[in-house]
Amino acid sequence: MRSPVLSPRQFEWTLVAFSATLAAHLLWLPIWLSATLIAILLARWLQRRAYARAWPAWIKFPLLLLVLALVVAAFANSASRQAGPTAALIGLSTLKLIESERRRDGLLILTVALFLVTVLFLFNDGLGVTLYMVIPTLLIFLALNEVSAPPGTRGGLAAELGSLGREFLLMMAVVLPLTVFLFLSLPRLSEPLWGTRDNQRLARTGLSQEMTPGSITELIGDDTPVMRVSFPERQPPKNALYWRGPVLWQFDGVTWRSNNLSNRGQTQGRLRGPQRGAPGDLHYQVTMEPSDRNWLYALDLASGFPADSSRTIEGIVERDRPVTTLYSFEAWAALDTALPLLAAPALQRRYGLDLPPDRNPRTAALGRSWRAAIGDDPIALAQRAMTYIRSENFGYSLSPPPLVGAHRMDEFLFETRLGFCEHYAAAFVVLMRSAGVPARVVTGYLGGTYNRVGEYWIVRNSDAHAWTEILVEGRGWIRADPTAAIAPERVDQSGSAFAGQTLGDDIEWLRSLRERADAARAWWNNTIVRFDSLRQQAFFADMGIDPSDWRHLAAWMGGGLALIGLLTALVFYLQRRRGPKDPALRLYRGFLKDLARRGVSAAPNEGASDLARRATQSLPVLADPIRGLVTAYEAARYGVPDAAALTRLQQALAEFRKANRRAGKAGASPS
Amino acid sequence: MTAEADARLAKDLIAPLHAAEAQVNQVVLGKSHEVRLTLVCLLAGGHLLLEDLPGVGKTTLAQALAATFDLKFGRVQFTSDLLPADLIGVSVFDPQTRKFDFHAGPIFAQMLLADEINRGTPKLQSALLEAMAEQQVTVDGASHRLPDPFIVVATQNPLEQSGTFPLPESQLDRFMFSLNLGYPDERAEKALLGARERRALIGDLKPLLSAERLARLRDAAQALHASPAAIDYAYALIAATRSDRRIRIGLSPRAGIALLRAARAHALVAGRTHVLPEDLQAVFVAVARHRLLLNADASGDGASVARDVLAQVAIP
Repeated sequence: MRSPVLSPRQFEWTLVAFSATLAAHLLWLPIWLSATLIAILLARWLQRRAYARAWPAWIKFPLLLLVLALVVAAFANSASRQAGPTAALIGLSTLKLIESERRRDGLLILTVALFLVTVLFLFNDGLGVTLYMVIPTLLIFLALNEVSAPPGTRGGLAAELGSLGREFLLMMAVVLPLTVFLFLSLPRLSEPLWGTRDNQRLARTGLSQEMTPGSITELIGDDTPVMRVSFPERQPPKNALYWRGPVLWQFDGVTWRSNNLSNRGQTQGRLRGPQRGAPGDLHYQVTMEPSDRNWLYALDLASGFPADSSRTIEGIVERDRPVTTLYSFEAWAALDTALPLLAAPALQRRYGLDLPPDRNPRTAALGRSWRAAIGDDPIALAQRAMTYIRSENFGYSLSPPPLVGAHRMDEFLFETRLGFCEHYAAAFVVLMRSAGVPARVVTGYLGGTYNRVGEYWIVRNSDAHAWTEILVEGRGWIRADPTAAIAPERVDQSGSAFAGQTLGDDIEWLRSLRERADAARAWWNNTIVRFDSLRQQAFFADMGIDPSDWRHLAAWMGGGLALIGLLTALVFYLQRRRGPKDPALRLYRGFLKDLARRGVSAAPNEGASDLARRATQSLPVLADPIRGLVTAYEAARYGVPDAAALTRLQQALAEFRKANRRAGKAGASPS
Repeated sequence: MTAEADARLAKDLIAPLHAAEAQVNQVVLGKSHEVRLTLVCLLAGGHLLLEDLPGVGKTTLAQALAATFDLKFGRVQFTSDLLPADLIGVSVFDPQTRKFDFHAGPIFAQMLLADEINRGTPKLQSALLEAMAEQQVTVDGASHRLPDPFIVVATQNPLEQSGTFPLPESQLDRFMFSLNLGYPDERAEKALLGARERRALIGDLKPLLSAERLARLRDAAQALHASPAAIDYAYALIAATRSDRRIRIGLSPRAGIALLRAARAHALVAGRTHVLPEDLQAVFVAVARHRLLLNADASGDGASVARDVLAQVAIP
């Protein structure tokens, strides 16, 4: 038996539900594929409106090739295991819509769409996307409802939603407790089964182990959160929040690079977690967004970091595995403490003085002249450099003139004199090294934005910063931030605020709204996404349940499921007891109630026409609306199926009620 | 749409139908409800059983109907010595052609009035009821088709029990409707007394609807829409007869089909394109009263129990 043809209405429902699902996937699909798919859907919609004819094969086949080619081009070299197949599925189901003419096709498309809703969480499990996915899910179920009904038996959308709304709420009353229970009870893995929450690595930005002029400005335009931090005991001053990232030693005249010193000295000077925080240290808790890097951004000098991480001799806290999912940790910091030379002192000194030969002669000469004048006190030399930067007409700018040529530090220090943190950090280190003081560039984030709603700090990519450290014999590496010398306000504001990018931060309600939205995201991340095996154990411990004891487990599972079963039974009982399913009958019952209030109550075995005859006799004022309503009711409930009949009944009921109110106001009492 | 076309067709037919109804009402005074049900029975293609005392106008009603519908009318008075051959006809040997010729009996009519059917022997009764079910008779191995339409209006006297053979329930089921005419009300009876003799009036009746039109009306009636809601109600009524303690045997599925057919015809006479609960209510007692087999200790008769069922079952 052939499946019935989709009516235009059913087709449009299918199209809308599928498009809503597709819309969420457009977030990660490459732009060309997205544009093609949108164009196909649009063309299909217009074609279905205009002609009934199916698309010929000579259009369909090249389209298939085009879509597949786009998918292959975009994902052939992708590291992701899910992106390619998912994109192919999306492309093919979009193409399937082209030839979807029958109910069976519609049901297939909608089922695939439901699957695509689920698959999206492999790519994005943020709060916004999760909330958005409610819309396509609802649309898909509405469309399924529409497609599976025989055409023409459906009322208007409002009536439809009205009748579905109650059913939906009842369903939710059953499904939500079950979901929560399973969410809490199902065994959790410490990491997702698929290893990484696959997220198109290419697209992820953040600090790297290199710094070229411009690499940090790029980040300053990027508002995505890096981590959220809360200080449970005391709030530190904002200008003390130097979140330490990669340490860069090697300079070739253009680019600064890490030299993997930490990894070469695997064990030497490396401090393995778990460490206890020292008393008096600053305690803080961090939830990091996935970065695909090993390092955890910690405050100097870090201690008390978790078991699967360690502090390198460069002072970076590194995790054994990259942070590929939301990751939470807590740590302590001894602020303003120098990082001692824990291992390889000679090597560190040597690297700290390394300069590319034959580069930046003027800078080198300046450094040497200070050394000759001041001597070998690193603190005094650093202060001299700070004074130089402050006094010599330097400027802070996020769009400085580009540096070209071989002697870029010379160009910056003596010609352009306009730059931002990475220029100043680089120039400062070159000056120090020329003056014989071991120095290095440290990248990371500075400060953050305080969220008053959630009472935490949010650090964004726009807070990226570069500063320096100099080696003082006997004390260790000491932080020196030349940016503070030229633009102290950068140190006191967030990066984006300094760049003038957070529009409307001075508008109180807008700022408050933003804070609320981010607090909601933080809550989502902490409670839902980060609910892993550890948190699950903590939850069971709080409930006084020992999951390893089968009696406890059986009581919990049995009790929970029994409770949910009871609730389900209750809901279905209520549903059975509650009003009729037929929307026409429900409207008519409303009319009967109104009529009863006017003194005319219907007998259970009284037909509508008989009732109308009786009611028009005792309520002659309402005779016409009553007759109109009864006619419409009989047509809607007993007549030949007609989509418009229900609408007419709704209108008739509205008219009756209007007349009834008017009659009531006029003081017409039932006789 | 075919449904709309059917509705229009029905409209064209309904005006003459109403004229016919009015004409019958001029002859049978004060019985408009019963006349309406009789018409419904005709349109639903059913046979009619009139249970009443002699002299309340059963024959007049049947004759008026036959005259108005331009149907060939036949009448048989059932007695205990009447043989099936008297009703159906006999084969007579023709010496000239040396063949048996079939001489059709009075059953070969479009409307047959079977008076006092319960006076006939069971043999005679079954011959008639078989003819009603098959619309044909078989004599000496040869089948003879009865005319179309073939409508039996049977009467029986419920009071006189001596010398009668009550119809078995299974055979009563062949009648779609069972009606009780009763005495006319005062006004109608006075008018009856003052007016001309009824039989004379029937001679003046004009044929208003042909047999062919009646067939179209029947088709139109059965094409009417019975919504799931209406069928729910019909089922609720039938189911109630099966669970009522006063009733030994409730309505059969065949009775249910008859109920719905009759309700469709009633909806057509009322000029609607779909069946309403009111249609079912209007025909329910007539369909149910002779089919309900009451328990011995139950008070009342089939009609009153059927009315009770109607009062108790809510319209779903």
